[in-house]
Amino acid sequence: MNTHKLALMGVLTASAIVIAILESFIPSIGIPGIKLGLANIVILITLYELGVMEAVFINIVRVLIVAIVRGTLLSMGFFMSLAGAFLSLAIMIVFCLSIKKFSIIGVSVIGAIFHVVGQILVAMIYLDSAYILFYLPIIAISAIITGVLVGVVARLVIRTGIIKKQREKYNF
Amino acid sequence: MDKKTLRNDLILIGSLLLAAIIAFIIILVTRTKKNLVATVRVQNQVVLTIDLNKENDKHYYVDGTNGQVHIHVKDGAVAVIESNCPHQDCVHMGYIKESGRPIICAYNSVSITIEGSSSHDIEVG
Repeated sequence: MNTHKLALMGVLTASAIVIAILESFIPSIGIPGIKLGLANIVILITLYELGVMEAVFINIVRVLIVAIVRGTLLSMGFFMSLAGAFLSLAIMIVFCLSIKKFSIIGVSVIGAIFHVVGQILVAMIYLDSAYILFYLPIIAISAIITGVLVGVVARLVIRTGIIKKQREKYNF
Repeated sequence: MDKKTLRNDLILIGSLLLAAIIAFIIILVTRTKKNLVATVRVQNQVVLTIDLNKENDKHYYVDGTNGQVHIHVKDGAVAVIESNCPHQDCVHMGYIKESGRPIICAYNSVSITIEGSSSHDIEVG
């Protein structure tokens, strides 16, 4: 693996972890442990600038390390993050590569919605209760707002061309 | 970002927001207001039902999966006032008096939902 790419992936993974840990300080709405998915900024940038495998890799490492740091490994919150992160990434890959109808902001909003849907599904299975679905609309509204913000930030970062320049210079 | 994808984005965001707001309003409107019964479940097994119209200022203790949850009923509203869970999200929810906003204590697998009790409809008339 190209050393420059390795370093860049390290920086991206570290940023995703820091954002996810900072996000865990924001109080959750209704369901304990639900997240809005700010770390999606990094995942989106990786998906658009480096590729699918890189985004999947950073996502796995991010979820695992955040769970270890916060001491929530294998708890309900961990499985909620895992389901949210991967459902959201899967949908974003489809919309980014196959259905090229939306810009990065639209893709981000779809990712944010499926991020909370994944988390709510796990909470429903874990608590064995369908009542949790009552929270979906209000959480979805906040997810849409977060999704727009994440998309705008990711777009700004990509437009600076900072990663593209690295790729051209070091050829990865 | 060309004009077409921008337009698609706006349609997407607008329709999602609209759907969420409509769903939210439906939940607000359909939540029952009379003859309310609070149902306490542990791991989806009903362990306690409290008639909120009859009981007032009463304390209940329910054993969850990781400890005891202290439930208080007052003025037709129900709250968890004490629990051993680390985040205390259930305690911070305070008193609830309508359906559509269940109290969930994930740590103890306890959920408290408010449901309209149809058997009392005739009594009130």
